[in-house]
Amino acid sequence: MTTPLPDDPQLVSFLRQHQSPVPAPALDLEARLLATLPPHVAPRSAGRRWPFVLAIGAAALWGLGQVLIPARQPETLRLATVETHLEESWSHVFSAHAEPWTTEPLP
Amino acid sequence: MAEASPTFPDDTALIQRCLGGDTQSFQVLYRRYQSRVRGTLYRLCGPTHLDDLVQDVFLRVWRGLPRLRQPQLFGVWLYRIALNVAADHRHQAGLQRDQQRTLAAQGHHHTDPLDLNHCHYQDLVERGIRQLPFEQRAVLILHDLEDRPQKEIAEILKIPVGTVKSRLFRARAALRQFFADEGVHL
Repeated sequence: MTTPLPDDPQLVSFLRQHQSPVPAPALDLEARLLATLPPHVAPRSAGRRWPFVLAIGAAALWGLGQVLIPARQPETLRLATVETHLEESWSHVFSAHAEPWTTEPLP
Repeated sequence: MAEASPTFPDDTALIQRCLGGDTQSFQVLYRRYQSRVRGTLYRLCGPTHLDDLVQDVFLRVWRGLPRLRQPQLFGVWLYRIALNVAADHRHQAGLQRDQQRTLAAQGHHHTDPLDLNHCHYQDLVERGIRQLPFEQRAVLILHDLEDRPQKEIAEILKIPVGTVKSRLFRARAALRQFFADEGVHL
């Protein structure tokens, strides 16, 4: 708990007794103020729009990704494709019927 | 704060209407608080451009209402805006010139010795408060002249209550010293 501040009634009384009077406002100040107010006040719900904006943005990014990034094949299909390619690539090496390029006589 | 009633709606009800663009409700708020705001600005900044400063405060209030999350703290928020406006204004060069003009004007109209004494003390109080650093001046005015509780001042200025107390203590000590230097011993 902080220490209470000692009062200074003499000083406070002197200050209050000898305050200068506050000058009165211009007669048309209120009217001028009201005339310069912007016509509409921004709605308070502006802050509540952010989740909606973020959701729309996320959906847009996802859609863009679907378009730009090629779809990935399932893993098993990819492996099967690789195996087929390997078999076809190496089958001629071990085949009894040699490919033309193996019997081409050397110069 | 005024009690709620159809004839005298409270601040929260008025603020809700203002958010719908109701300038008449804003006029009620303005009339409710303008003299307090005016007094604070006058004590902080003097008479220079006082009308403009008051107008600036209430324009900021109107524009800032959508961001006010706790309408029940409207008074605290309003004071904070007033102090920000005063802080922005405090380096105006005309402050010193107006002090001299005020003293000269007062001297021309009062010949009664009692009046002269009063004018002298008025000038002393004005100069004494103005020579305080802004932070101390704000706390002294809010507490000793406008009767705001220390806790509310802490909320307005966004400082700890302990800081309010230390600034108030230093402000009072500086004022007493200033008055003593001018030959006035309280």
